[in-house]
Amino acid sequence: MTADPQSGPLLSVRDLRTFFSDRQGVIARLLRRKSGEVRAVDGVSFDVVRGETLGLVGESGSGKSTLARTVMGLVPATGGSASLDGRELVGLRRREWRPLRRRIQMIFQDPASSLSPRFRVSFLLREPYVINKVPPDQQASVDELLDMVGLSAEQANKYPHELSGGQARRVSIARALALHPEVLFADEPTAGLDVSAAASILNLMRDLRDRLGLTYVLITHDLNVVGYFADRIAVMYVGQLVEIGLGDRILAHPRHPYTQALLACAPVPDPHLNEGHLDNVLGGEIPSPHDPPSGCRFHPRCKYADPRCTDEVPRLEDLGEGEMVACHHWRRLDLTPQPPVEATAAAAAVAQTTL
Amino acid sequence: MSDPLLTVAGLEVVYHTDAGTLPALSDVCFEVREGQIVGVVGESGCGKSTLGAALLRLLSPNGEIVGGRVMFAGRDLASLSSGELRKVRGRGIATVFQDPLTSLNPTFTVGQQMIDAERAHGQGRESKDVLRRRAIDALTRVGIPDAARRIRNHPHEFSGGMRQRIMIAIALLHEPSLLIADEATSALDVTLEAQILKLLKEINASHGTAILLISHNLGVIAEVCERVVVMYAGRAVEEGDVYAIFDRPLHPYTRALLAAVPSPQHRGTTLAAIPGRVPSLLALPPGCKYADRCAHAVAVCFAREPASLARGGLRVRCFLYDDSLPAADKPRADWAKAPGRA
Ligand SMILES: Nc1ncnc2c1ncn2[C@@H]1O[C@H](COP(=O)(O)OP(=O)(O)OP(=O)(O)O)[C@@H](O)[C@H]1O
Ligand SMILES: Nc1ncnc2c1ncn2[C@@H]1O[C@H](COP(=O)(O)OP(=O)(O)OP(=O)(O)O)[C@@H](O)[C@H]1O
Ligand code: SF4
Ligand code: SF4
Ligand SMILES: [Mg+2]
Ligand SMILES: [Mg+2]
Repeated sequence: MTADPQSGPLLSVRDLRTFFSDRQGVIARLLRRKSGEVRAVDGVSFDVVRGETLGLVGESGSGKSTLARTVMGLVPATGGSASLDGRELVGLRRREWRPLRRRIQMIFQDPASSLSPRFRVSFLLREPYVINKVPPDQQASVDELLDMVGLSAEQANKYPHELSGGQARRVSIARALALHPEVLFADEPTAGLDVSAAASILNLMRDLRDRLGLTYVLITHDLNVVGYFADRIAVMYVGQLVEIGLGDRILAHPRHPYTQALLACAPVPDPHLNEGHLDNVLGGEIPSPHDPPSGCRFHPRCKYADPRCTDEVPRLEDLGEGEMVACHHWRRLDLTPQPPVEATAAAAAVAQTTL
Repeated sequence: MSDPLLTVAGLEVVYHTDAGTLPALSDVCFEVREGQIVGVVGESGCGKSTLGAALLRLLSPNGEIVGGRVMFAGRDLASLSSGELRKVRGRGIATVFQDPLTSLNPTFTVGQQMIDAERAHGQGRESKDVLRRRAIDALTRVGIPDAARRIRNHPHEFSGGMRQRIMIAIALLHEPSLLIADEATSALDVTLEAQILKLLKEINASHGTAILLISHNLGVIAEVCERVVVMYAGRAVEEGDVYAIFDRPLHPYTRALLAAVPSPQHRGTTLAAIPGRVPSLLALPPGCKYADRCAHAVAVCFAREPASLARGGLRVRCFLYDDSLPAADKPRADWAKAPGRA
């Protein structure tokens, strides 16, 4: 791990907000009684130090991609700040972005739609240089880029639809790396890949982190992936962070009931460890950011909720050392998952006797 | 033990393409017993969906079953007329696929689509009210709140998880004895995935519906399946009880798949990704299809294809377990140099 807490944060996000207007078309606008805004990102703050990987988790629709796109300047922020190495990114004009764009890049959630189907891989890999007007002596060759992400030189002549899911993902990573970024947002880099392809992408990302000192914000809803890869984990729910802290701590001792519920849902690739596992599945669905619940946004689904939770918004309490949690009752809850040891022994005994 | 509900024996499927005839499934054999949940796992392109589609003769137009037998509830599916086959689809075997949006028609309400599905399977003589009531019951059963009202909504008015529940409700309308779920949870986030898996398990327990669960997620397989079929390049390379497959896998490919799964315990280590890739169906090697990626491969593995053998409660297709080979020709089980759990 190359994280160095002495130097200030490389990426710093403060009270970032991204609201979308809820009016899509004229008809919808005329018919909709309740117009208003979709608070996709609603007051998010975190820091990432150089060389660190921050994992960002949360259910579909919690605002993870919007947060990343806002920091990248691809979606305008409604308010708040995001800075790279002390340089403010919010509100920059396109021209002002140019020198910074090279330092912060993103692997998009859906590689198929982020790679234009009309161009060959060789062009797609040069495109970032063209767009960012990078002088030729600072450009890596197509072969170098392909090699960096473990693709053979023949792939250069292919069109995106001729690539497998894993190969398309590698091209997308190579495009992001072409500009030698310091910070890389990786949005669901292993989603839709089978286990072997996912393992090679994670190995590649790990290797690049070690070789180039990359700083990652890894967005995923696969808790096994963040658990494997991230140094710290931030948990997002309906546009807000509910908990952030060291990966090991979050996995072993979650403080927020939502974090606990997410962990309880992760499928475990071991039939001994998931006896009764599905009994604890978090019910219901994530509410729309158009009309978030009062008080604690998690209260309608929280098994620990009391009247205070419906009325009062819990503040994100700073516990120092980068640990934060937003729950009224976290101090009196013990959410540490039950050690699966006894379950394993019991299940193993059963398996033995039935053989 | 109950009788097999589904018996697949020596199934062979090809796809006819401009580039040639692709052998997509070769000599696939396995059983699903009544009320059992059987998982099918393997890398992308190994033939999992082809298998699911072939069972119902729902292959794409260029696909063809060229050998083997599929017996369902004592009848050979190949011998059925198209009318009888239509009855089996729906009443006997139903399917749920990955993407509910492409399977649901966006222009009709969920209620209309469910009533149409009921009619298509020969319940046309019942009154619309009866069909509607049955649709509402089916939606309620899969956990759609306020189903009587929601039945008037269009598919896009539901979330992804709700749409998948609707697909399951439609599949269950006729109380099938076998449900084929092809990557039914792969597009969902962890909570919705867990909710759907829980639902499938509940249906299995309450209605005795057998399930063939196709997934490339080993966590999902371990979570719900009793038995597992591991597919590689169109072959079932290992098959058996879920505990045996996860605790004492025999096939080098199964071991490699299990070793590649990331977990917090692997933090700071390189994951054991399987080197190379699944061979192209256009140029399958003559011997064991896994030979070019297998750390144990020896001359015989490149020369001929291993047969399926019974070992330790599993069926496995690998020369490591073929005692008819002279010891000198046999690959060696030196697991230290291969990816996999010790
Ligand atoms: N351009 C937009 N206009 C209106 N609403 C939007 C827009 N983009 C996103 N949203 C809404 O903002 C919320 C957050 O979406 P976002 O894509 O950021 O979630 P996510 O956490 O990345 O989810 P997933 O895991 O599915 O990728 C959702 O409710 C989404 O519908
Ligand atoms: N209609 C078709 N024509 C030609 N080849 C096909 C067709 N459908 C599938 N194939 C090929 O058959 C093989 C098996 O495909 P199949 O979809 O069954 O794999 P799978 O195991 O379901 O993969 P995935 O995990 O990606 O869904 C692949 O090599 C695929 O390219
Ligand atoms: S504040 Fe209340 S509702 Fe929110 S997570 Fe904590 S206990 Fe649950
Ligand atoms: S038959 Fe040979 S190549 Fe194939 S899996 Fe077994 S040892 Fe490996
Ligand atoms: Mg997203
Ligand atoms: Mg498939």
